[in-house]
Amino acid sequence: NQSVRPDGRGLFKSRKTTLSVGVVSTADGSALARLGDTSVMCGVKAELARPTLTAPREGWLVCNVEMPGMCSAQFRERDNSMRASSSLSSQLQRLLVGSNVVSPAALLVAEGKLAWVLHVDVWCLSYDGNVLDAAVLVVLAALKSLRLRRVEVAEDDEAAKPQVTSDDRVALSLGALPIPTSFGMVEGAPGGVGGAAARTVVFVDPSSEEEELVNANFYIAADAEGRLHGISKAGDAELSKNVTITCAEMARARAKKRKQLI
Amino acid sequence: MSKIEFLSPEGLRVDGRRPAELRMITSRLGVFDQADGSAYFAQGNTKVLATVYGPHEPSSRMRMRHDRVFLNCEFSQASFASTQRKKRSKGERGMTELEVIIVDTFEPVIMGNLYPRSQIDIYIQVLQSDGGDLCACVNAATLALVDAGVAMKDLVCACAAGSIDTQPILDVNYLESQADGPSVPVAILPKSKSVLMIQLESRLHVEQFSHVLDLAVEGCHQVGRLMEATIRENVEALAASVGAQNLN
Repeated sequence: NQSVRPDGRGLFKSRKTTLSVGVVSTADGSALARLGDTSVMCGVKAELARPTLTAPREGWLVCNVEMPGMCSAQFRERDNSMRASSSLSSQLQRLLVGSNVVSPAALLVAEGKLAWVLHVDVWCLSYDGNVLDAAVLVVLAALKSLRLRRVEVAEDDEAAKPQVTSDDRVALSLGALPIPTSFGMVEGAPGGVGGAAARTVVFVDPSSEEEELVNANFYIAADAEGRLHGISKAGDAELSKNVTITCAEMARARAKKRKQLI
Repeated sequence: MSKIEFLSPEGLRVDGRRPAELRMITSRLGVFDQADGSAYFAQGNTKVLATVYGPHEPSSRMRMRHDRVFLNCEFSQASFASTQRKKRSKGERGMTELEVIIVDTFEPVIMGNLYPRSQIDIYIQVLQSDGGDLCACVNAATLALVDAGVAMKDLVCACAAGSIDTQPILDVNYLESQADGPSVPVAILPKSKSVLMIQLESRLHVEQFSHVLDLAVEGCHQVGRLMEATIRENVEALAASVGAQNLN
């Protein structure tokens, strides 16, 4: 009634977010994010491969999210874990590729011969709701910290053997950062003591306890400049146009704040 | 072609350590609130996370034992954990073997008769691998079990030793383990000084074996003292927070 949630937060308050970069030295880029008690780690490994025939001037990204049994009791069942992993992996891949945050052309080394493939692996270490927001944050931070070796291929070299040209490494230049904000929706919460009409309550950053209770959840991914990069909604609560616009504005404000974190 | 000098004339190893020197160890208990028990254990560049869930109802009737707890271990390693990207999927033989070793190591130590018809899950995640993985996993699991409040007879402390030429070395890292020399991970129960787990996969002369084993056991004791110190710190912090509440 007072718009306070079980953990004491207001409807539009996110949990405390911390981000550390460079946590795993065997990865080319890595980061660890904590959103409340949800902990997510990302490692990026860059490998060289022959570009595909249909896109000879591009490298590419391969995203994978793992929700291992260790992150929560609900993922003990292999099926649950795989279902969550697959759906998050494809959401993440779509968001990153669609927003063009890493331009595939920037990953090229030699046309038709050699390009960088970035293997982005996200591991959820502890699950307390809202993995998507944490996962994207951690991937963007890891990509920002990624340093690629300078590699060249000789013009006449058909076998495309990569030659390391110097010892220093190059950072990737990233495009606009698509930062998602996840919302939960609960329908039919009574508006007041006097039996007021049931209304839909929308709130930010659901914890796992809240995720079990929502009728629907959705995320809006925006960048600091106000462009939208992705929206996804599933579930049965109705989302009115006004609410959508308000949430989009909120997502954009959050994206500005979160960008500073990264 | 330059050959890596594993033991310099001054007696220093590739990472500057002396033969009987452990890598730097950092450990923390209670890193996650979701799990019943969790711990982070880092030995040099080898970083391992362990979480414990349980005791809880067994996930299938087949696992239910009427007089003892059922111990389950699941091991996973991120593909970015090793220098070469290696995707280790579930059911891979090396991983399953490790899970079996962990269960066999902890089975006699956990007081299983206190938790009949229940299951305890130990999840181990290797974040970064630089040699001594099995030992770091065992140590992390011990701390996570302590954090979960599972009754155990003693702490299980593990450390690996090997040898370069005939010089026994303690706490073998990845580079040294690739050098064709033996690596012997050992786990002990410090109070009873008994050896709980020992593995050897390469050749080691019988004469050298007792020296290497002695060094490994000494390393385990050192690790045990460090783990005990971490546990004490953790309990003191907990006691302080509870004590503070009582005063209010």
